[in-house]
Amino acid sequence: MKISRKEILETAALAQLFLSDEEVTYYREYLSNILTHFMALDKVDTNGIQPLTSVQRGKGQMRPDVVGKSLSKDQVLQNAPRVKGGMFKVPSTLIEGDIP
Amino acid sequence: MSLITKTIVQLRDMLLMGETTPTAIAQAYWNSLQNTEPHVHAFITTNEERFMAAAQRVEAQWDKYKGRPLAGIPVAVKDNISTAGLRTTCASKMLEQYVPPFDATVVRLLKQQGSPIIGKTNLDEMAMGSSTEHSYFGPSKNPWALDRVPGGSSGGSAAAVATGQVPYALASDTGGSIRQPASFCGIVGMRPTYGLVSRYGVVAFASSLDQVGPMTRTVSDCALVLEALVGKDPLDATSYGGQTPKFSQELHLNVKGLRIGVPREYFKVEGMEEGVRQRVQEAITVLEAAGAQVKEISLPYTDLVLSCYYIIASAEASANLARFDGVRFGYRTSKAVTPQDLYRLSRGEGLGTEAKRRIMLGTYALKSDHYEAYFVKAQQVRKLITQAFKGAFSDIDVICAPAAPTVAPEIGAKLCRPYALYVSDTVNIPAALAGLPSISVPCGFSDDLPVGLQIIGPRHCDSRVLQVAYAYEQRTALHKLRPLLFGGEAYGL
Repeated sequence: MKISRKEILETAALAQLFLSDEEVTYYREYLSNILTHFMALDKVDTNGIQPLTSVQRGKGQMRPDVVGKSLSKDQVLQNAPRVKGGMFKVPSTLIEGDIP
Repeated sequence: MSLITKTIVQLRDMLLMGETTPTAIAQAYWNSLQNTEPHVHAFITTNEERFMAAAQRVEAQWDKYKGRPLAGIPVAVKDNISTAGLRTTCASKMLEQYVPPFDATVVRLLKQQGSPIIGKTNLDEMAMGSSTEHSYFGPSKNPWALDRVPGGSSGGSAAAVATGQVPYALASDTGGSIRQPASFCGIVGMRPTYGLVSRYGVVAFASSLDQVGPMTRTVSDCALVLEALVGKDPLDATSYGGQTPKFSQELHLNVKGLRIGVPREYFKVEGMEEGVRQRVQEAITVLEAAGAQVKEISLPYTDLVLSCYYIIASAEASANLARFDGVRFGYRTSKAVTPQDLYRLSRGEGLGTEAKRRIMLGTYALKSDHYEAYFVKAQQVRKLITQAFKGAFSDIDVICAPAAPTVAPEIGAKLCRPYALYVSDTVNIPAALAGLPSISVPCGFSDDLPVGLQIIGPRHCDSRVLQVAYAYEQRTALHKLRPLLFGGEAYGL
């Protein structure tokens, strides 16, 4: 099976990954090959088998709804690429002239 | 003789007898690291000042620390485990400058013990790989043969322990990343029952599979380290509590009557080397001669574990790696105009090929039009694999198998064919999928390179796995051998 270029670009968009033209070609090849191997899963009958989401049994763990210790603002910002006014600085999401 | 040839148990005895001090031990290992690191490249980050200061602190407060088994024993930590104030890169350009503001729980526990951290070890980027060749900082070398890989993803940790740069290391195992490098480097490496050790602060790869475990030179040391790491952690909802284990005091087992299952499918893996098969069979025979009952078993669905694992692990990885977006930490592109650019270019430029491969595969498997066919199907097969183990363990106590189908390949040999590298994970993936405890213990050499015996137990039977490993180890002298390159004795039993 050969995955289409369109589907590779859709997948990259979902993964928020920029791919060069070469990379698009490469991933088409790679994914098509790997997924051909994975078609082996089709040969096993899984009718009625519950998907296993965790190897552990039992319900999720709850904790008391009490405020605990957290990182300070300085700690949170210490690895930020760009900071302004105690906030993470990022490119604007609005372009001048846009109706918000 | 030299402190760097001692095990944790021996070092502890010496400390308690006053025959050595934490700073003497630290200095000895630091010197060893300096001498060998240009050849082995096991570390991404070391910090002599911090390391020595930690050793000095323990020495100055020895009365407080002397009751703690790992006090004064240096440790290396795989660089996907957060260490506050000490760079944690995951061997990725994305995190090249990242310094965590917090410790992983396992690091906090080791600091409480008084175990000084000598540095952060090399790995395949984001723990994705089986050779450490996918590290942004270049591969580590196998101390038994410097043209060979140490295995992966925990290759740096394995190389550091095998070389004698550190008595023990922390590492992580998602699909074999502790056991396989332990096998390639001739040391002990254990993956505990899923949930036994907290994952808080371990940079997530596949959350339903990741586990932290020890890499050591002996099984006794492994038991001691694992004890220190165990416990229910409120910061990891998948960690469970229970009795405080005393693995190190429960190691002695009467092997008579122990029921060992040997899965025939694990010996038919593509590329299995004859020398590896023989060493593993010989190891099983040692246990049989000691009174164990050995029988061949069948573990169905072994031919599907690769597909099952790679779909699930990649899907979980695609979600876990979504946090690397250039906003709050990590690499940020200089070319972004829009927020979309920021994410896509930072990720495209900052993440390596293997990480991007897994993200693409995982994202594809989770797309709404493929989700049922790939991800749900893989989870159903995971259920079948888990049930197959349960069935097998109804009349056997442990499973014995190779910890890798080959000895360490040459650096560069398998990189161009990703699938070839993936196939060799077949023997390690199943225990991870089922959340079972599994250890690799040295069982000899083939072509002058180490071979590992894998011992798998039912969930929560970590003690039993350690016992069987100990029973085998004590019937050989393999744990006393060190690579010839670094002043070890030549093997030849």
